[in-house]
Amino acid sequence: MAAMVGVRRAWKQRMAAWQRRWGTEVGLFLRQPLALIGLALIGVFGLMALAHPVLMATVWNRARFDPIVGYDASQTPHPHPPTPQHLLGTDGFGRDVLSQLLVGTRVSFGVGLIAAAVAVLLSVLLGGTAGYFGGWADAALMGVADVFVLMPPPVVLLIFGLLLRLNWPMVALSYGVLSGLGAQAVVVKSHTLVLRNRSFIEAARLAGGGHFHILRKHILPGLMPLLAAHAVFTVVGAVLTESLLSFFSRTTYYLSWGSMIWMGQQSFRWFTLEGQWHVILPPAFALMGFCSAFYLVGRALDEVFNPRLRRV
Amino acid sequence: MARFVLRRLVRGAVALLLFQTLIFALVQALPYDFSAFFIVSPSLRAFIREELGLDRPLWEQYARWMWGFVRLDLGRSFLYWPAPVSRVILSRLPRTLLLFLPAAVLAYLFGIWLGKEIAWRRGGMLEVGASLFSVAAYTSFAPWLGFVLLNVFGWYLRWLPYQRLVNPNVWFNAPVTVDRVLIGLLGTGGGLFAGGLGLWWATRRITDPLLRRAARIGGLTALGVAAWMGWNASGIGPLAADVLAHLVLPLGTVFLLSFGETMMTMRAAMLDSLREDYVLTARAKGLPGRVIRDRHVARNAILPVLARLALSLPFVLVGSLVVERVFMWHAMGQALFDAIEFQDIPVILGILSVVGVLVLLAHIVLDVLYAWLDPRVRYPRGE
Amino acid sequence: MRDEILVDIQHLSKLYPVETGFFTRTNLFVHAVSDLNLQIYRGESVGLVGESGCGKTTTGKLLVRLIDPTEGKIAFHAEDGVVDVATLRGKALKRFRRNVQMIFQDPYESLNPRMTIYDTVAEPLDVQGIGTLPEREERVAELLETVGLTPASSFMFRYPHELSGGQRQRVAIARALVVEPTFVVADEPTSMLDVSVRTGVMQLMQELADKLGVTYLYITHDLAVARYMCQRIAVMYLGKMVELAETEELLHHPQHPYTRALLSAVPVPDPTYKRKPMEIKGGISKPINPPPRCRFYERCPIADDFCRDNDHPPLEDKGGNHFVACYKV
Repeated sequence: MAAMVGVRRAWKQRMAAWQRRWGTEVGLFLRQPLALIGLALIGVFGLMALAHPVLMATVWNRARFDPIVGYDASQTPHPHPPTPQHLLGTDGFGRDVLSQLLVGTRVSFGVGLIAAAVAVLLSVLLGGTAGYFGGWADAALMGVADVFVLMPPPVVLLIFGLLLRLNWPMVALSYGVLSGLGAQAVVVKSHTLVLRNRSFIEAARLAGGGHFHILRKHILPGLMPLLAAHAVFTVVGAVLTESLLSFFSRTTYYLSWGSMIWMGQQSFRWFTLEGQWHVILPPAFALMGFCSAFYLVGRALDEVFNPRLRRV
Repeated sequence: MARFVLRRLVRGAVALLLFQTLIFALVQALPYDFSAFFIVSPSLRAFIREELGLDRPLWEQYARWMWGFVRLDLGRSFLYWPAPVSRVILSRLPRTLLLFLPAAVLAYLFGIWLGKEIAWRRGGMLEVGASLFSVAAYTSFAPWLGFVLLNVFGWYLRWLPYQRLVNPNVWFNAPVTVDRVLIGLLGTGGGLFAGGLGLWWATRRITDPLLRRAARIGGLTALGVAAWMGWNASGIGPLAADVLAHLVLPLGTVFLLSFGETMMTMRAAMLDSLREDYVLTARAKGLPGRVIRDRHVARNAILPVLARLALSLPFVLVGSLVVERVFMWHAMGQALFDAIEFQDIPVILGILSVVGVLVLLAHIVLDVLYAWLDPRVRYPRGE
Repeated sequence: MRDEILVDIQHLSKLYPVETGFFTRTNLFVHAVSDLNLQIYRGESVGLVGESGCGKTTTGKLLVRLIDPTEGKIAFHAEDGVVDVATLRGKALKRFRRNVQMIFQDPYESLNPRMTIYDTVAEPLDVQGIGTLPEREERVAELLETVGLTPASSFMFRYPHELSGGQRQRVAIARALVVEPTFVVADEPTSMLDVSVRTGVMQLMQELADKLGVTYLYITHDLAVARYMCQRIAVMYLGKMVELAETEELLHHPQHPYTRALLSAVPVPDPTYKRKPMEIKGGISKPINPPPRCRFYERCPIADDFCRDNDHPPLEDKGGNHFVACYKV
């Protein structure tokens, strides 16, 4: 037995194996123009979210540029069209639109990430358990999913919003619960079912592995690509729903793209008949760009991890 | 097949009852009772409490709630007192359907067609362009998209009427109600759709492609002309035209919001099915590209798209409810927002129930359709 | 060697319920394996032969306790005493897994595509907590070379999709052998492989049996493979064992009409060879609540009323350890 593989050298080969394995998939992902557009947009939004505190600390005067209580008395009337000082102009209350836009990015990221995490966690718990154990667990848990499927998150949240005003983490949480326990759990369940019936699971049982071992080492890694795609699509749904809620003032007051669009639409009626497009277009396009970016990345992930979609 | 349908129906009924139980539990979990919403005299409050059954024990409230749901009795509206909730909702249902159904059907048909085309010509600017446009439309913020279309086409260009259901000047002294005309239009739309399907079914055996195409176009034209003449002869044609003109913008908005998802799903399913060996066989047989695309690839790709439709349908419905609000299209969405504004709890819960029932129906219909198209689904695993 | 029993199977049965109504509890069962008796001796290879759907894979999975039997006992004679496989639980079951392994039919299915070869082969060691990390690596490397994946270092950190079918099956064999089991169930390990690599894998399995003293239950539908691999062959039909004998005895003097039919379907590489073909009617069906008569009655060319009116015949010794379950021979 000459060719012993020492432990010290093994990590290098493991890295190489990982690179070979994920290299092709990363390559396939990056080869899609739509995925690249999506990634670039997410990067831009990430920078925007980071830029706000930096700008507030350095360039922007707090009294004039604060997204909520700022007011620029030097430029009237408000809303004011874009000027070199206020690159996107000001809204009806004299607040800088750009500053608001950047703060809204932060809220959108927060909403999306919380919702995605909650939804993925719940869908794995529910769908994974139902698919893996089957039998009564399956029947009971899928009964739950059948009910949650009947509750479109935006409608349910609009009604929640009437009864108890929600802040954005609560909106994200509720969205995650509703979508994670509904449609996503069903999809996770059917994938778990496929995985469970493959013979490498039987081999793992023969190795002496218990349920925990099999779930951790075989089922969960097998579900990962699906969960990644789900997470990304949940971000889209959650951010759009949050915007809808804050647009219709069904949340506690905080600044987000939805409430900015609402403010912008008000300026159409209150101040001029012509309307102030600079107030309404930035948040609307930001919202569209943000959601499109995540949607495109999700589709591209789908294409990479679903090997039969690959271009030959 | 009958057994499958029965099994699915039972499952659906169980889900519906659980859903109602959950709504009841949610309402109970709220930290206050309904009667406290209104600042009214104690006697009136007592009346409200009695009317809502809030003075009864919990189990009786629950039994009343479930029994009421089974009898389609959802209580009475606060806002339109003493109208029953079911009448408030039913009277608005045709208006929502007139917006929602054509938008959903058009969006699905267009999405499937476009997805098929761009998957067939994979790569290139058409694919990127169409994908970007559809994704942008799909992820647009519904109230904003409606607002933009309304401003551009209604306000600046003045091509189309905007806001509200009808133009009062046209309807002055009209012999019929708006809802009568709406139901007539819904019927016409349904008839045209069914006629189109029947035509496709009847002509599918014609082998000569030119003749088949001629027969189809001719038949569709005849159907259209018949519908037009029928409305003309009825004497309320202008009224219907007014409703249709008001329908264009909201319908266009819902359409734009909805077709992207279907298109992207169809594209992925097409690419999936293009990898199959039978496509290679079809090519080897020397079949023309169009036939391979439509008969071999698209027909198999439709299945996963159908499965996804059931999941996307509630979001189309939500989209149309929101768009109704923007265009002041007085229907279920408007009723929902009014109810939310005036805290008309029975109507809100009623609409939630109706949405649940509609979603459930969509799921059942699509499940059955799917099982009919793909026999593998019908049998429980292990058989 | 021949007299030391390793596995003693007594009245082993597995019934699967057939799903019927939504509310009704079914009383229809598929008798996948019914009343199977077999002794496997230490060091031998027993072939289990039959058509697809006759219950041979179910039998294999029952023996390694991947599925729980409906009835019966499987006494396994481990070094530290006899255990009943049918009722093992918890720690004892985990210990039992060190003694018994299985090689699966499809090497594309039985290796997790997301795990490296090292992780796959070392999984049993990992789960059982055998050895330290360097020891495991050494053991895996050694074993990979034993199964002919040389040099081991170039295979250890590859993924299954980078290997050919034959190489994958070698990995599966290495995984089965890593815990040094005494008994291995091989479920048609060569049937999914190209003909060109089959012999290689079969040779490897024989060498390993000799070297490591492994006992095989070799499941196959191919009599030629069974002849190459096994000392004894058992023939199954619809969940029942119909004939059991030494390999050459069974091939040269088949007695059960079903075995004779199977043999007459084997091509003989001699154009002048003439034999009287054994004709059987119909195809295999599912044994759902089979009536109390010979399971082979419907297709049997020599059956008569006695076969129809009596229960399935018991396995009888016809001399020289040749067991047959038939009233007519």
